[in-house]
Amino acid sequence: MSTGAKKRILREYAECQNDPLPGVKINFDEQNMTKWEILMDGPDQSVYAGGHYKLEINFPNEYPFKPPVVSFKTKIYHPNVSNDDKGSMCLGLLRPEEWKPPNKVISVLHLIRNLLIEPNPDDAIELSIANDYKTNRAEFDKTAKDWVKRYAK
Amino acid sequence: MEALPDSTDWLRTSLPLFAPLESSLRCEVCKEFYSNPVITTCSHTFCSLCVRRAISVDGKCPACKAACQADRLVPNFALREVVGRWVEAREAALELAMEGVGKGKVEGVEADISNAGMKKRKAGDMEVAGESGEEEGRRTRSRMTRSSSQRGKGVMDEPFEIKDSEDEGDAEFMPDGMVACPICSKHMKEEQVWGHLNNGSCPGEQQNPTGARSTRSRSQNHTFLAPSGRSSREVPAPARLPGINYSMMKEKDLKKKLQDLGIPAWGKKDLLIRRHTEWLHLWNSNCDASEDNRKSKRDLLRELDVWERTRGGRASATEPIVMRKDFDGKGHAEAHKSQFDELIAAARAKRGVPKAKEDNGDATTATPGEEPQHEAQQDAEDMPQPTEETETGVSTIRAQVAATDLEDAVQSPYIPEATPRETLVPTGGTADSDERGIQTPFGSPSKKLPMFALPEEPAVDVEHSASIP
Repeated sequence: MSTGAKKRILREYAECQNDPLPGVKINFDEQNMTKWEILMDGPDQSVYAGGHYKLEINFPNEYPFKPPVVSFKTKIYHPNVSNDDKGSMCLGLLRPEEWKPPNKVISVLHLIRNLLIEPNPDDAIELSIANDYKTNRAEFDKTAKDWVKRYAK
Repeated sequence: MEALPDSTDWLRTSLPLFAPLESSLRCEVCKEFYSNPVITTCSHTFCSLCVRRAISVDGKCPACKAACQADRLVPNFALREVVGRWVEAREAALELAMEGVGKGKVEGVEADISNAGMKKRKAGDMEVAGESGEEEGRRTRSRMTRSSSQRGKGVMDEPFEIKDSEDEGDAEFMPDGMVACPICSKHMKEEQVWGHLNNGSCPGEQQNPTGARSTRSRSQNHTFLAPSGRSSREVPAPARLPGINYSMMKEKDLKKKLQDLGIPAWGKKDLLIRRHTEWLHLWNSNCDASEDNRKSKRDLLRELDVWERTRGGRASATEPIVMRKDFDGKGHAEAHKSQFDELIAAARAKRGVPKAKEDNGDATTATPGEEPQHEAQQDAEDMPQPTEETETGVSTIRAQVAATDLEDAVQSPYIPEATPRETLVPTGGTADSDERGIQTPFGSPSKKLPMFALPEEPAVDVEHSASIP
């Protein structure tokens, strides 16, 4: 990774620190700044309220020309997060073809948080969950809350 | 974490509105102040280097994703001037704005590296200290405007035309190998001077600007910040290098091309392409620099070398995967030294002593730490021989250890101390490995890949087999 990219990551971190999102904590390791550990609380107004989620943001070598990779380390019942051990999340500005180098990490964090508040079933990675969300909202809420209790406490 | 100067520095001052102002003076890709800003066909502006790199990734504008071509980028002189001025004024302005808040101290304000030379302004600026922030805001702005017609302090009365006069200051910007004509001060190669004087092409002493000249003085408004901008017409900017259709080129031709350019030409085609691309970025963005900021080819080569070590052929691409950052290579090597030694001894015994000695001699006569040795050895070890497995492990671990030690010292070239001595000993002097060593006297780009691709399993094997006896 080039020095420029590292500097850019440092800047992104500084920006996140300057303007912290509620319920979001970033564990930043200067030795390995390409991997951020994020601790995000489920937003109060969402079904994930009360859950504590661990995420990872990995910056590829080509950053900022390639998007950072976001993955949920904590299991979450969400149409936009893959329901496997990767917990990957790939939509909106995180898509390689949509990513623009000027995009900021803080806007990535915003995106994640907004998706917790309001999932985007039309751009889902887990189609069954998306279907659940669209057609049987009550069931979805119940399962999601159940998962919060089981995995995200 | 060291504080990087950032536009958010202004948020804590009495001039929070300067934050968006400053962020608009920063490149969106690298978030630094624009360096050699260029404008795209879709009218977005980026650092020359940033946008060139971005374009080489996907051929699109980083801001709007419109198709974009590197050869259609043009320098944005006005912005370059503004950024230069701003960087110059920033430190003092920020200091004052902080005082306005009543903090009385400057925290988190570190002069930009590029800013280091601009610190002389103090005396002139400090006299306005103590004024309220708002006033300072106006002051700063007026200073910015003012400064477009005067350079720094003490030159207030200097007429604009002076910038155009060639009789002073030019000498210091004389390009390498050029001399000034003793009569007209025009720059030329030394051997050309006599011809120039004799054939009457010398216009005579101190000729006043003709029509062409005055055009120049007007067009030079933009490079006004750079005092040496005036000589830009005498020394034409280095020509931008054209892109190459790599797929049409054989590896050999490409190698030749790189040699002609004077850049390293080792490695496989893929690496050659990447290196050439990077060189194009560095070179062409340097062409977008103003005259006095232009770097020499040597500096560019140095930057290319940095690239080589971080992204290019000498970068350990798999580093984050294979080697944990907290892996204590030294400790590991020390802790298991006896086991390694045992293994080496066992290998030697199996190989037969004379051969090992021969090999030793080879290793010492060769340049220590030379990469090809590595490769040859690696290749040899790929041969399916029962005892080799453990040795691979040993050598890989040694290499890992060495690499870990060097990991942070990016500046030093990759010369693991342990490599020649310890890794070569057990490789065995099969004719094969010797031959390969000769066949590939220069490193190839893939040389590190096998080395770093192997480690995990062999490393396990070492422990295993070591613990059994």
